[in-house]
Formats: sequence, structure tokens, C-alpha cells
Amino acid sequence: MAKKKDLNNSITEAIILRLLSERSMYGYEIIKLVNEKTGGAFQWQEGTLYPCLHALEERGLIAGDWRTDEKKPRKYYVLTKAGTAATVKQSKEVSDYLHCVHALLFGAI
Amino acid sequence: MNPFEAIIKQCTKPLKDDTELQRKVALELESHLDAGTEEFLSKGESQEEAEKHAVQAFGDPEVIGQKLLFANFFRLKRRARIRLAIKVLLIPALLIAFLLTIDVRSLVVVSNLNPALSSSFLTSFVSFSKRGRQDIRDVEFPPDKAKKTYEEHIDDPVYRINYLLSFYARKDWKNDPEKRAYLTLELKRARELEPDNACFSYLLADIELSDAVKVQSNGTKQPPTIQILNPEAFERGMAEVKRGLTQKYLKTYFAEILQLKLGPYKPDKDLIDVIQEFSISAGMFIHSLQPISKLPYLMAYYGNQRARANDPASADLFLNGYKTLGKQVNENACTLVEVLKISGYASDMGKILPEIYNSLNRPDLAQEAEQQLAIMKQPRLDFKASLDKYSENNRKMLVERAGILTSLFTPMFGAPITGEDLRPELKVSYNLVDATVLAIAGTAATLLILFVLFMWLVFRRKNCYIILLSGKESAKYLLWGIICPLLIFLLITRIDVISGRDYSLQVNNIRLIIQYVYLLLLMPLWSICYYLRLLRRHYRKANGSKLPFNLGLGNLIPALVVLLLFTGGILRPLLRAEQKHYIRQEGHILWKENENPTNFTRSEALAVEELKKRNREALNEILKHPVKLEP
Repeated sequence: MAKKKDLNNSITEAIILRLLSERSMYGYEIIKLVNEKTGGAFQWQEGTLYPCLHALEERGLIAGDWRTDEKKPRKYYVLTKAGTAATVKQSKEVSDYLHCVHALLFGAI
Repeated sequence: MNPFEAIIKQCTKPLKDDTELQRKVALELESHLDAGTEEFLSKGESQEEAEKHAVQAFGDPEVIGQKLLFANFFRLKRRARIRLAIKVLLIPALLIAFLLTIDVRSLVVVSNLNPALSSSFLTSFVSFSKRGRQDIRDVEFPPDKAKKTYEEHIDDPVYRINYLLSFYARKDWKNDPEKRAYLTLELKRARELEPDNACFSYLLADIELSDAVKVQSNGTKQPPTIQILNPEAFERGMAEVKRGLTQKYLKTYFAEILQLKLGPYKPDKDLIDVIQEFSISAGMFIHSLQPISKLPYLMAYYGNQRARANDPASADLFLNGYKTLGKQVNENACTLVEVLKISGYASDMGKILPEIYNSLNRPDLAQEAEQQLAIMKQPRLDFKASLDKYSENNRKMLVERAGILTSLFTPMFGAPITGEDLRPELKVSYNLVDATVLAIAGTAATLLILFVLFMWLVFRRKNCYIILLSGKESAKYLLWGIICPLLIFLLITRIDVISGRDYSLQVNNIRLIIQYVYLLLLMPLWSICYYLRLLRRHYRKANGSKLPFNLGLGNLIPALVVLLLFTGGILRPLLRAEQKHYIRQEGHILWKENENPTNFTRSEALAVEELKKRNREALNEILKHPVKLEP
């Protein structure tokens, strides 16, 4: 169950980890993808994304990798081994939490 | 100019404590804004509009900055502290590395003790090292200091003789009646305190004889020309000689004096041994034997005079004086120089004594004297012959490596001991000192350049900062950049030890060159290249671009200091060991306190003992049948 003080942070982290488990991405790409997938419901901004990315990087769940093969160098983030394990755990925690919220608001599922 | 510079600067301002992180985040944000701009451009907007919209979509820079600070807070503080610690510790580390690497004090001591030292490079380096400081030589060597110490230890024979010999050696008493009177008085006082030591009587004799007589050498085989300038002073001088000949021994405490002179520097025991050997090799203490160097001639001359004045007792005393002198020296000699002096006395006398006996119409005594002189010379000849029992290779090694032994053999081969004669050995012995100086000068110069560069780059140039490698990268550097090359170096030196170091001089030099080149050039190069490789990889991974030149250069400095700490720690003991090895034949220095010191290699010490024994036996043999004018 998500026990972090900052619920938003936990959800953001879980989403980032899940997206990165599919493929490596750079910051702008993540924002764009989230906005697209949620039909604009989630309007992530840089102030939301980068601190989160840095925190995950610091914890060793993701790793930055500058790629220079494109027009301009870009920092891609990839999931680390620890990050792969954390993705499953963190996704489940957020999911459990949301189920509980749903049960409380709308009754048992 | 970067259109996003202002907003990026504002976003990353809270991270200013960690330049590296600030730079990395700035690059990432710039890349993000570029991506945003590209998207707006693809929608048909102009460059200016696209950039404007990308900035608008970016959000509030102040909020982003605070969030970034919050996300990176602990990392930032930790890294900022590490950087600060590196900056603060770098200067003391540099000083420690410097101190570990150099040993200026020892060099100054060696330089001061060896006036024959001819290396202008060393001299200039030493004088440079002394600039702005008190001259170390002045701390210990002036007579005033020796006088003070003597007065503080008035009953100590070593301090006393040290002071009197230093006063005597200055020779300024020759033209200053006041000083001459003072020296005479002090020597007489010293003789009262040590009545069995003939040294003071011979020094007093030399003071009197210095202006009274002129002894002109006429080559190695011809007798000298003796000219009396002041008969009264000559008589007084010979009276002192007569007194000296009745005393038991002649001792100048030279080994003890050297230990005294080195004492204030508190050098390592090994260094004392090395310096002592240098000093003996350089003939520094030969001057302490000089006052009696012309005495055999004068004794024969005066003995002749006394015989003609019908004073046979005195005549016998002087004509046989060389035997007494030999005995006095032999009993207290601890060096080969002193022991060989005895043969020298016999050799000097041999030029003049038989002739004197013949002129006194005593051809029988002339013949007997010749025989006895031959007996006195024999130990030297036996000793010289005994060296042949060594194999040629061993002999060669003795000659090439043992600077002291070779220099002390010089009189055995019929040549007088002079600075010039000793110079080839000195050059060999000092090779290592010069090598040390080169290493020190190179290290000092490198440290200085690095220090200036570091100060300029890190404190003046804002785009230069200390890159912190990850724990894994640091461990890799330690293992492959420092420990691995050091192990190889140790392996080289261990092989060296296992082989017994039984090399010729040339092989030894090549071996040393290989070691020094590896330690001073290859190893730093290896380490630096590896560290630079790690830095470049780290930077490219973190920033996506090549490591800038000045940043790389600046970041090599802490690594170099670490390296210098390691190599400096190794270099000094290594050079010390080499210095010892270079001079010692068998690696044994016999320094026995409170005993008659033998300050040579084992073979040298044995040689001295053997020669002393033979001299003693020869003298005893002669003294059983003294030559007397009156039967």
C-alpha cells in the first residue's frame, strides 16, 4: 500500500517507472506521452517530472544515459535492475491504494 | 547566445553549491526546451515564437528550482561537502606529498659534510633550498657553537677535541697572536685533562713548528729539504714532540665527532652511517691527522742534531720516534687511513733515516734501521697481497662499489691521499645523491606547477569544478591506477632482492635507471591516463559531450596528489636503501656505541682489524730490539 506522504509523488514515480519499463525515454518524451495517453487530463510539467526523475536516479531505480546520435544530445532514462523490481511493487501499491479509495467512495468493486 | 540561458539559470540557481550537478541539470533542461521548441516549429511557428512558447510551457522556474533542490537536496549537500573537503585537504595533502618525496635536510647535511662535492646542480639546489632560512651549516659548525658546547660539557673529551680541532683547522691563529696564545693555552689545559693523549702535544708542536721550519718535499723517493727559520721556536716545537712521544696514545675521536655534528639534525641511524661513509670517503677527517704528517722527517732531522750535540738519549727517542708514533696510532685507530699511516711513517723515515745513521758513521745501525723499516712496511705489503686471494670479480666489485675501501687503498699503491684521488670514488658514491636531487627537483617543480594550475582553474575559472567519480569508479582507479602499478613496481624490486643484488656497477646502474624511470615516469603516466579515461567516460555519460580540456586538467590534480603521496612514500626509503647498498659491500655497518667504532662494511672492518694486528706484531717485534746509538 502506498504509504508515502506525497501521494502525487508516488503515483508520478509509479507511472514513470511503468513507462520506462517499456522503453528508454527522455524527459520531454515522457511528458508528451503522459499528456497523450491521458487525453490531456494529466498536464505534467517540468517541475513535476525532473525532480521525480532525479529522485529515482538518486535511488538507483533509473539511470541517465546521454545519447549523441541524434541531432542534439539527449539524456535518456533507462530502468535499472532495481528499478524493474520496484516498478512491479510500486504499481501494485498505487493500484491497491486506488482500489481502496474507489471502495470507500463508490462501494465494493 | 543560448535563448534559454536566463530561465535555466533561474531554475538551477538553488543547486549552485554543486557545480557539477547544476551543470548536468542545466544541460538536461536545455535539451528539454530544445525538444519543446522543435515541436512548436513543426507546427509551423517561427523560431522566435517556438522558443517563446517552449518557455511558457516550461512552468515557473522558481518552483522548478525549489523542487529540483528538494529532489537533490541530500545528494547535493553530500557532494558539496566532499568537494569542500577535497579543496581544503588538497593543500595539506600536497605538503605531505612534498615532505614525503623530498628530504632536503638530509641533502643539506650531505652537502655540508662534503666539501669535495662537485655537483653544481646539487650545490645550486641546496643553496636554493636554504634561501630565506637560517643556514643549517651555521647552526652546528661554527667554532662559537662548538665552544659553547665544549664549555657546557667541560669534562667531555669529544666536545673538547671537537672544539679545539675546529679552532685549529681554521688556521687563522697563524696570523693572530692573541688567537694563537688562546689556542696554546686551551691545548695545554686539554692535555692536563687527558694526560695520556699525545694529540694535544703534537698540535702544540705543530703551532710552534708552523713558522719555525719549512719542509720541502722532493718527490716520493727523495728525502725532503728541511730549513729551520726560527731555531728557538723549533726547539720548543720539538720539546712538545718529545713530550708527545712519551704519552700513551694518539686519539682524535673522529667517529664520535661526526656523530656529534649530526646529532642536532636527528637523522635516521641509516643516514648517519651513509653520511659517515661519505665523509670518510671524502677524506674529511684526514685533516685531523695532518698536524703530525711531517713529523717523521722532523724527528729524524732533530734526532740527528741531538746525536751530534752528544745527547744520545734524546737522539734515540727521536730517531725511533716513528715506532712510538706507529704504536700510539695503531692502538686507537679505527680506520684504514689511520692504520696505513703507520706504514707511511716508516716509508717517510726510510727516505732519511739510513742516511742519517751513515752520516753518524754507524752503518750497522743504518742497516738495522733499514731492516726494521722493512718489517714495518711488511704488513701493508702482506695485506695488499692478501687481497689477491679474492677472486677477480669480487675484487673488482670491492673496488667499484666500496668507495671508502678504494679511496683508502690509495696510499697502499704509493699515492698520497688528495681530494683529486678520491674524486672518482666520490662520483660513484654521489651518483645516487644526484639522482635523488633530480627526482626531488622534478617532483617539486611538478607540484608547484600543479598547485598554481589548480588554484587558477578551480578558484578563478567558474566552469572548472571537481568531478566526483562514483564509488565504483573510484575503486577502479584505486585498483588499476594505483595498486596495480605499485604492485608491479614492488615485484620488480622484489626480484631485485631475491637475486641478491650481486651486480657489477653497470648492471646496477641500468637496474636503477629502470626502476626510476618506471617510478617517476611510467607509473605516473599509467595512473594519469587511467584516471583521465575514467573522467572522460564519467563526463560523457553525465553530460553527453567531450570532457573540456581545462576541466580534465583541473581534475587530474587531486589524482596526482594521491599518486605523489604514494610514490613519495616509496621514493625516499628506496633511495635511502640504494644509497646504503651502493656503498656497503655486504650490507653490514658495524656501529657499536661505547666501543671502538668500526664504520665500514664487514670486509672493510675485518681488513682494518687484520692490518692493525699485523702492525702491532711488527711494532712489537721491532721494539724488542730497539736501535740505539749507544749500546
